[in-house]
Amino acid sequence: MSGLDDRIREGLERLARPADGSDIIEDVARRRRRLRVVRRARTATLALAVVAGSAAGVWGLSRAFDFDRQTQPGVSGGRNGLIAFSAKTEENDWDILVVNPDGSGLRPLVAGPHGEIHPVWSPDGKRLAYITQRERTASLQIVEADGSDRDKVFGAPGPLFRPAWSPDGSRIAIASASGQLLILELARSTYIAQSLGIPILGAPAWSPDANHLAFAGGQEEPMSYEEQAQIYTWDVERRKLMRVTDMTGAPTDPVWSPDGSRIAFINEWVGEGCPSMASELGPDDPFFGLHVVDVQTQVTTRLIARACHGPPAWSPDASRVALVGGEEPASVVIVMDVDSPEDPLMGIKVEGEAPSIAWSPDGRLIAFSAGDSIRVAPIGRSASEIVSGIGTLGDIAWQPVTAPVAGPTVGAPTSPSADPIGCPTDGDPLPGSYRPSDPQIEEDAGGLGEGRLARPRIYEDDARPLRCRYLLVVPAPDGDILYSAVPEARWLPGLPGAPTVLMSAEIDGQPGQEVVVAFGGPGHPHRTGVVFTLEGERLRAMRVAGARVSIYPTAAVPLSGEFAVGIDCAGEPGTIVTTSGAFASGGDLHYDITRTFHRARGTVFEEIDRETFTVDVGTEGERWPETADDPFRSCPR
Amino acid sequence: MPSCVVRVEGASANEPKIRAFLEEEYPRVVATVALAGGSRASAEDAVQEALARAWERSERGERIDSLGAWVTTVALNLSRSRWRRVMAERRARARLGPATPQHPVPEDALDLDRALARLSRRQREAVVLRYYLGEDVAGIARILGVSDGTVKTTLHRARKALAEALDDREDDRVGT
Repeated sequence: MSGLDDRIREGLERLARPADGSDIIEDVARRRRRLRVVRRARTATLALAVVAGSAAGVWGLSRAFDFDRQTQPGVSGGRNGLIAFSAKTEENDWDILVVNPDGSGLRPLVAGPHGEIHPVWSPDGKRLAYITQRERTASLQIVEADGSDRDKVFGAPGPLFRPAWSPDGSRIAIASASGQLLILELARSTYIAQSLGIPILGAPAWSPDANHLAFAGGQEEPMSYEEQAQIYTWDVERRKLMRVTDMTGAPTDPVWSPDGSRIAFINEWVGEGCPSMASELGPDDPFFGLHVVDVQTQVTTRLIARACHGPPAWSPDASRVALVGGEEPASVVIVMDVDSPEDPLMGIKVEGEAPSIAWSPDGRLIAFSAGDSIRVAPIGRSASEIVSGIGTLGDIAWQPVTAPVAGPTVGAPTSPSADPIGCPTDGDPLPGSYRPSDPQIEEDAGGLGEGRLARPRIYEDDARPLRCRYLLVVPAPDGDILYSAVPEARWLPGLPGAPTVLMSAEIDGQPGQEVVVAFGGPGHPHRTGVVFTLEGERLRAMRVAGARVSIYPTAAVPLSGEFAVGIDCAGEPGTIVTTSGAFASGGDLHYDITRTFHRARGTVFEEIDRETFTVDVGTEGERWPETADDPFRSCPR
Repeated sequence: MPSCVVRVEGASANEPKIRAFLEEEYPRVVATVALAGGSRASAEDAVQEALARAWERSERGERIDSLGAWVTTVALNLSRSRWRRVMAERRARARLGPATPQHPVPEDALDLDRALARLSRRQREAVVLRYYLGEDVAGIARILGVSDGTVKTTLHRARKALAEALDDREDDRVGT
């Protein structure tokens, strides 16, 4: 150990001031109790209490700016969950990273000296399986969604294909490049090797009822059109192999439709070029493209001839499929309705070949790799880049959520509840499905249409329905995103980079109550706010103009630069306080802080007070001036 | 400041572990977080919050293999939240009174104190974890959520910067 190292060590010992932990167990216990209250309230209340002059409402959660999901490692994101992907940088071998669908929270989940590849989320989204590839060996590993508890489940002397979780998450099927198919029973830490008699050429796929596995099998390097792979299914219980296709070409990457009736696969052209070879062979040539085989009848239908690369990605409801076509050197990500493949819903050109595609669990978005970036696109709309410049990208996997929300329908209101405060006796799921492109956005005083109070059925992780939940459904200023209000003020998944919403109250269904909502965020530094008044089950929205509110998600606070936080004035409805600041690193380190207080009066956010001050930043932390009062204080009148 | 009698609810199965952590590891974890960036008050706040979360998770049946590493990771994450630090400061001031005297930097550590201030947050964390908490490269990688290679590079650069700042002409070697 060098003198420098000793000097650093000894210096740190002198600088350090170890704390005394002997007397703080009660402080920690108190914090734990508060966490439990917050957690129960958070899962119990996906709603806002609308408060007006009548009721005080419940303020405990709305005033707390939630840091939990922004500061704990690996905490899962919103309804659609995290996007996991493998990436290879110049410095490191392949690692697995995660990012929120809006591009925030990018961080490594699994990093190590070897190649970590093929991330696959468990069906409940709580764990991630992946392959650690060494020079000559590989192992299947599982990690918790927060990056903890890495477990090596299985090791092999050679490369392993992408693992496949059984639909109930209790088993994993995995194939090795040597052609072995294994089914691992996770609870018992055992595996069963399946003797199939043919080599396996790629990742297996579970049928939705978990009775079968589909895979491409056959000659690894066909020498001619006659020596090709085919799609097989393996009956796990009866140990029976069945060939499903009889095609010339190279069927690969089978994917079951979620209803288990069909298997989609790519029949790849084994030559060069794509789709120029299709034009040479003719449009009716059966060799080429995306095919679907009916498992019962084994009748194969070609959906599209332009497909070159797999695997195809089915939407969660099996109505749509995404795949890759196009001409080299670029590819095209194509999304189509399975029943009308001749009329694709979208085609996005991407640089590079064979992008990986993943559907969002709610079926409204796709994520795909494009060169060294990851993009997310609502179906039928343009894509936005959420990750770039990391390096070479591999597989993408979108974390499924375990609490499906029966989304509200925006449109004709349901009849007002006779008891807006009381809970319905038997859950109250709203009919229809949630389609963000449907709502009629009216150009009223601010371009914001009417909001709606909804009572969907919401499930906890253990699938027990929760009742008495209210959602505030708000057409967003951009007209694309419907907002489901929660105490943490989060957006529903929508366009990447969606702004943060701040609310001043919680809804408890009282007629005539109000909630003030302000929109803001990156790229929307000065959004205006909206006052919603509950009338029956509809919310009448009035746009609040003139608000100088700057809201910025604290999750994305950069090391230096501007940040802002919004809260309310000591829980008073209709008020918003924002504290914004800029970190200045020139000269003496300090923050320039501006704190602005607003109260909604009619349709206007009026600024009622403002204070500015400087916070010095020294090596021992920030020193706030005594004159800077608590931001939670009551607003001036 | 009102005094409150707080009754700890029942005896939880994990309380002995929490007490053991408080007795054995808490002092240095707080010091680590404070050295990495932030004040003592915000470090204590972050570590106590992280510990409370670990306690709650354990009671819910989630497994945390290494309480010390978990708490250190979460506390470092929490301490990076600037707003949280601000709020912690204010709560600390409210607890202690109007003026909290700043702890003077020992004179013989002034140079290192200044040198540390010039490192990036990530470098400072790596240095403190390595030289104060005694973590090895793999341990630092786990806590910071980065690869071993990134840790080595970070330590290498940090050490080089510290050597220049301390005017030290030692060999350019990361200690083992």
